Amino acid sequence: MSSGFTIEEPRSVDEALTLLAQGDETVRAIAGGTGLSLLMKYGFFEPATLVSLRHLRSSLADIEVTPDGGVRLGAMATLRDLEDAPIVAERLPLLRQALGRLATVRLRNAAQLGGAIAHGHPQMDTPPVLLALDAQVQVASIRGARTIAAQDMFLGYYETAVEDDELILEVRIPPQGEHRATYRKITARAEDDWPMLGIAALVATDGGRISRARVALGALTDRPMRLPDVESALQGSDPGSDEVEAIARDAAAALDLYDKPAASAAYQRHIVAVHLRRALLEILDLGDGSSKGGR
Amino acid sequence: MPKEQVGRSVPRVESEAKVTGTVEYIHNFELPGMLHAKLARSIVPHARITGIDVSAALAVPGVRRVITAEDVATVTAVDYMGPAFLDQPVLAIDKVHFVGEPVACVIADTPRAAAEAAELVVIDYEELPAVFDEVEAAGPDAPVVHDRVEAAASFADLKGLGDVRDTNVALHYKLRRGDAEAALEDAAHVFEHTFRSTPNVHATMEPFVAVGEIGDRGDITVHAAMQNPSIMQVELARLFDIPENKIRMRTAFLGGGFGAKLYVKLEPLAAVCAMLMRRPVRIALTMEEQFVTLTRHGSTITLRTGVDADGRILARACDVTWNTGAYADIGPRVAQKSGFTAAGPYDIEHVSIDSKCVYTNMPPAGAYRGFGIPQLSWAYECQADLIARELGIDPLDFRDRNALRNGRPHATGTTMQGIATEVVLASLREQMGWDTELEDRGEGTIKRGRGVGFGLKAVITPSTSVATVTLSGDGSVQVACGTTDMGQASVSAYAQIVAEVLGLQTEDVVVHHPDTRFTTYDMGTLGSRSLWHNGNALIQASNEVRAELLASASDQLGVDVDELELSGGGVVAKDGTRRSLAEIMLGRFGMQAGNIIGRGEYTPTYDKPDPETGQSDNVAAFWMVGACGVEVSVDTESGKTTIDRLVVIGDSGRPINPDIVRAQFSGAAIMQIGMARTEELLHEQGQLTTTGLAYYKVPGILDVPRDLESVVVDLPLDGDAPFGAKGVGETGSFAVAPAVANAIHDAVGARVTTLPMTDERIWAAINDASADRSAG
Repeated sequence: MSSGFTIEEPRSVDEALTLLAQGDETVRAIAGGTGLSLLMKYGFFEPATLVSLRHLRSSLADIEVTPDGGVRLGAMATLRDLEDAPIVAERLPLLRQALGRLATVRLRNAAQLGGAIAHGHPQMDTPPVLLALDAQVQVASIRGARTIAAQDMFLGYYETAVEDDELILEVRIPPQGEHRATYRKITARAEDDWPMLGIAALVATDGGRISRARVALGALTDRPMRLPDVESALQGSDPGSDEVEAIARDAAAALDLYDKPAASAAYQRHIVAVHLRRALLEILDLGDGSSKGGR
Repeated sequence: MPKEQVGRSVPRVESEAKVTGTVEYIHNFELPGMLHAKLARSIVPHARITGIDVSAALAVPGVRRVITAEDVATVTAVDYMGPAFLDQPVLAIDKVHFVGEPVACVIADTPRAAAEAAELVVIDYEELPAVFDEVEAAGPDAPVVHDRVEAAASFADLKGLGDVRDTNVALHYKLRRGDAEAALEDAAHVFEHTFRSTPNVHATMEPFVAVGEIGDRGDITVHAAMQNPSIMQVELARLFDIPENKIRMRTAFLGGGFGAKLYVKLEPLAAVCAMLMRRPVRIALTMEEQFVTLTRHGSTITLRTGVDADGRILARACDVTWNTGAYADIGPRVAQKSGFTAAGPYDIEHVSIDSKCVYTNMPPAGAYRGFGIPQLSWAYECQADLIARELGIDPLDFRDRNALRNGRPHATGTTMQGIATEVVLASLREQMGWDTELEDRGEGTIKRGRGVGFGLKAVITPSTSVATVTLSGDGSVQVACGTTDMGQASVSAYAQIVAEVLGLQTEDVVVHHPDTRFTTYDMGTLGSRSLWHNGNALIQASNEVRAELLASASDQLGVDVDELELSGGGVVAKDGTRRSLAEIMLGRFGMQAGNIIGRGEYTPTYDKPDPETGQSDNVAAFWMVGACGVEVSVDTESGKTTIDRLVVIGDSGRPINPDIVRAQFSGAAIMQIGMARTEELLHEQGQLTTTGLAYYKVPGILDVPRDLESVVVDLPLDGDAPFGAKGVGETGSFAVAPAVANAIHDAVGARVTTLPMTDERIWAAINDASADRSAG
């Protein structure tokens, strides 16, 4: 239990970056606070200083289409802002779908995109979605700005590629073109829970064949993961139900899983095989995925 | 203005204050100069305390004092408390018995300083062997949790308890009716199954909280979120050896109780802290601490049931073991009073029950909505379906055939009356459309099924309620009694009862929260007893006020009392003359002044059961019957299961407030979805690993069945039933988990035997069943 901390409320990004550049890992940025407050409550994190970003929202919460047809998401857009944004609904339905079952409306009203990345907890819904969308995360520090690909972002339990002095400013999603995608969230107990498994799957087709495939899993291990073998098996192919089933089964068999209080490794593996198959069947229009071979 | 007060769905009188955030909860209560306390708790399940070093804690700025059992002893007259056994110290004395047991208490200027310092208290332990499983703990070679405990003898219904030495079995309750063993020998079919249930936490939104303060006459006040202020008053008077009139226990609306906020919790500690500091001291637990304060009992139940060729249950032998944790709390009453219904809501000639309350090195277990019935029904209602299936009898027909009815003897020997078993079962049949096949059996990997269950509970008997009703000079009425409104709407229901007798509007009657400085004795807000017991006391008290009012009016109007009625907020004579209550009071006292005070008390009749056989002609003031039917969808491939529909049915007698009764039934049923499907306390060597709501999943709105129906069987009762009503707070809790298990079995032909029935366990059961089928 911390005996206290100070809160700084910078008025500009530069000011915030200066505050974060003290070389002290107990100085942390806070936005919605839905993740950090839990860590503080359990005594896992005892801040000396919290840098509140509340005054920076006006400049960091934009949601807009970029000239190349991609989407730029301000790091301080709340998850509810994203869920409600017509741009997201139109261009990133995968993200919108995932947000619809992420925690509760009250939490989505507070939680913000940057925090949902920086928190680095493995059991979150947004990371596999960002992986499937090839998201690029723009960060800045007084040392300069850089871009981190979503797939290089998540390094382990509460660990990300964002350095202590860096702040996430925005997320860029490249143009997705015509595509079909789905997010499946599986919880182990109550419906409203962190995922036991999150599957983000996306395919673009060209002339009857899959021209681009992205499949990412969340919540299984200490970080979200792309499934390159699944993606390459799909790429350039026109699979039928049996092939999809085999792809999903092989992918599940190859995973390195461990028993958890909420689910055994065997059940997690089984659930990956079932839901990965169903997710792929759904986006490949091979049935609604809830029964073998479609119905 | 509607004439009827009782029987009308009056909106809860406190609703507006609750939704606008103006209701008082003790959690928000502050006093000038108040200090804050936090506990240093045991991190081992069983150990001798060899040393406590408080120096680092004392060095934290803002810390005033760190107290241990030694300091407690300077102000207390006795060391141990507890409703059944004297096994609970204010702070651990010499030994700790579970992970989370309070050992030291830091008192500081702020909660933050107290919490920081509590983590710096260094406690040295010499660890002892520990036992966690109730069956193991009851065995001969188990480590003994308490070397010796004395029986408390506080309650009339627990008078038979003896001191316990060299065993973990705190109470072994026995019931013998007929000759179960001989009948089992002779039965055409004998079924034996063992069922286990795991503990649950109440997870009240308002955690435990108490504020102690010392008055100028050495009197002690404790403001606390508690369900039984009168019992706490008695307990504290004994602890400090001072008279009850110097102990004031006050409470307000509770943010949930469900049985958690009964008996010794924080109140003694808050009082001790206030005495030592001579300043008000607040102690408030976190949600996480709630998890080591009290749970529902885990249990292991073996049922051996003999059935004849026609599907009639002839005999049942029940072996029930309750895991009461390290303090018995009210566990012995669970073992006894719910234990005697272990054979279920059935008419069985030969019954034998052994119900053991067993100490372990787990957190204490006590009352939890349903008081043992949900665990028992998990056994007897799962077994009912297993028997019916085996014999090829429809599960509901099997229940109908064997159900206990009015006029028939219960296993205790008491002749049943006032239970609506047939109507409840008939309603279940109708609501579930049971006589036609389930229309939608699912398709693809989805299989659908339906299941039912029902249960029977006896109200804790005997117990006492005393109430007063006071009329003021302006004609307004206030009610003082000992019931805590923890969400069950007693404040509304009591106002309806008093208003009915006095011819007033419900909304005009004020019902006070318990404050033992002026509210009267009540055994506790528990076990669905309040409406019946305090209802009777209130009717009597209101009738006394009524009689005095009419006598005064008779004098003033020169009209015979028989010619007068109380109606519409006044006295009305047969000739149409009307006087307001204020006018009658003015006539009596000569100005707007004075009071008329009515008093009522109620203790039901009771025939103490034979200690060896449990037989009694009159074991309970009333009985409750509750049923549940569900339809589920199971994805056979993933195990993913949804309760699509839940019907909860209970007998209420004549409902005082029908909407509130319906909400009680559905609320209780939804709460039990947690036991059935989502809530699990995992622990490693007595250390809970699913502490807090992040890891212990209470059902949320998305887990509530899409179709939820709450059916009130409202046959008015006679006898002592107040306005024909009986208690309803637990009825909806009786049989949810077994109904779900039975529906899953119906859907996929697989039996889940472990609670909670998670998707993974359902998946595993489906796999096991299909492996059995291919092996067979």
